[in-house]
Amino acid sequence: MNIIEIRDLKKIYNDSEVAVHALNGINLAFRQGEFTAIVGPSGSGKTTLLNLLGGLDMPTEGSIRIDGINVGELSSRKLINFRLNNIGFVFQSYNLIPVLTAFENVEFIMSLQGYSKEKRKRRAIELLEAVGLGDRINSRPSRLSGGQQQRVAVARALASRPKFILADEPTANLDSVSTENLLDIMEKLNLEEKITFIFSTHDQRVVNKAHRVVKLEDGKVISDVTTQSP
Amino acid sequence: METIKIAWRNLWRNKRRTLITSASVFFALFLALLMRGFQLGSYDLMVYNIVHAYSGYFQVHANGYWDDKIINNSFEFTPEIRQAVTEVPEIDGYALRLESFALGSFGMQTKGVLVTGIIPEEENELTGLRKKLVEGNYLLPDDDGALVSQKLAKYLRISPGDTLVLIGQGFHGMSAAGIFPVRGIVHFPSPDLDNRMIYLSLPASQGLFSAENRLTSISFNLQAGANYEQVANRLREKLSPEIFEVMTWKEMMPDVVQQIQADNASGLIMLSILYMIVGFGIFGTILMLFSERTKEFGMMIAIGMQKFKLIRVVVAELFLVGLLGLVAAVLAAIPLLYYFHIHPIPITGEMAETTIQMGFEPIMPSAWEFSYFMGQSLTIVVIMLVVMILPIVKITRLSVISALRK
Repeated sequence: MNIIEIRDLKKIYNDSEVAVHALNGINLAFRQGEFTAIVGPSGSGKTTLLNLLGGLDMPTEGSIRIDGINVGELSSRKLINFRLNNIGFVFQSYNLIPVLTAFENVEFIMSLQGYSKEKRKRRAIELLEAVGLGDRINSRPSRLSGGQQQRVAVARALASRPKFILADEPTANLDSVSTENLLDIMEKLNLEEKITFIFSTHDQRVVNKAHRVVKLEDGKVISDVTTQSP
Repeated sequence: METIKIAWRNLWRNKRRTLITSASVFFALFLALLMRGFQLGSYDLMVYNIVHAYSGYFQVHANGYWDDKIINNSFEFTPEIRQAVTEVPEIDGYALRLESFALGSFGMQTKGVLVTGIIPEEENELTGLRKKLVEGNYLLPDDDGALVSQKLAKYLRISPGDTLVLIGQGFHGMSAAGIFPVRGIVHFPSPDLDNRMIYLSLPASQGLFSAENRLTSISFNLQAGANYEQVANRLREKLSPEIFEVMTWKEMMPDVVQQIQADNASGLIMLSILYMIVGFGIFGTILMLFSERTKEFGMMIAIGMQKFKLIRVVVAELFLVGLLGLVAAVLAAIPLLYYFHIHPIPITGEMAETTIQMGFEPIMPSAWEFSYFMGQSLTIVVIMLVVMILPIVKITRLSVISALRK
């Protein structure tokens, strides 16, 4: 069953003198439990696609339907709520809240959802243990390595029980050991918990782990290969 | 409450930023409180000196006396007037006076003088006249002698024990002439008063001017904390406006009021400049703070925090930072202002001489009033509220994508 359907998606940036066609009519669908890598050279439209999928930006043309809901038609307030309850984000530069501990960073998103303190605490500890940071729950981001911060970001993304997780070059700032660790965690969560991951990457190690690889070039899909069905 | 808790936690997770922002509020308010405290304290002292030097908080005259100060515009001190005065409880004391101009002479020296008939003890209670005595003795209730101001005595070359001759015009054109032994010499800081004052007992002056039981003014002192304008109004209601005029010190001395107003205006301009600098300081700090946290705010909105919730937390953070600076400034200023209220700073040098020449004590006390602390604190709160508009607008307009790219 498709949880995401993208139709004739176009994104044109008119910020500079020359209009930039970042996406030129993308048609894609993602199924529950997929582990998909979006690849392509710089400027191919990977990040733009993820931003549109995450409702962080609006398409110029076309539509994105998530669970049948056209995200482009949601008001700003509804869109933020939609993101909160349906989408998990893992950013390239981790983007944790610097003044909060690892535990508080994970718990924060659940407090926005209105979960009780007890439930928040239980799940935050559970998730941090799942990403191998059970012993660092009270550490602030500045006290964690890049790999550890990215694992906290994964735990945070999972905390809200999203329908899928978008990860924009999640391993770009990590060393090989941290990359390996993070990929193992993401793959495990995908296999065991059927969590859908869509990530953009340049990293061949990440591509090798992916079950589906979508290749973009000049804002168009030039190949879409599935190696393993969910 | 949850918002305040989160805001409070966020503040102390970045102590340096919090302390820098609080410090900008602290120094602003602390300096403003000290500066304005001494300014208002000086005005209070000036008013106190004026009121207790001679005029009292307000006076009762016969209608028209203030515009034409002649003895014919005097009034009879009747039991009805005494009754009206006793019916106003805020009146702490009063001094009956009969004033008129005359020529004062001793030996070959003669000068125009202001003769004031007083009840010595009442006058002393209102103006502390006894303390101004520098030579000789103070007047007794029915004394037939005189007190002469120091500069006048020097001009007339007269001393206690000598006899002063007074010649003038009495009530309804009667001639007024008398000889009065000098009992003492009094000194006034104001050169104007020191050059022309003669005090007689009230009965002696009424005898001199043939004005039996007549007065030209009653000067009033009030209980601490009483509002002189309200008390004057209450007495005004009890006296016939066709016969009497009740004038406050402000009405009698508009030049002093203008002097205070002019000085106050310059003080307010200084204060406004200080607040503007402070406002821009806080504005700059918040701008820096916002710029530093743009990415954090963008990320929070990206993962699902509503903008209005984020605004609530940020505003609460700023409010708490402001409150911290405000409370610290008030707490730091209170002991200093209280100390200088009790122990005013002595003024020295040329400024002290000028102050003395103006008839004032050369000291600089600070004001000690709750309303003044409140006023200054509220100004800071208003500045903070105005400055808070910036993050509110910025968060409302924040583009998540641009913020995350920072």
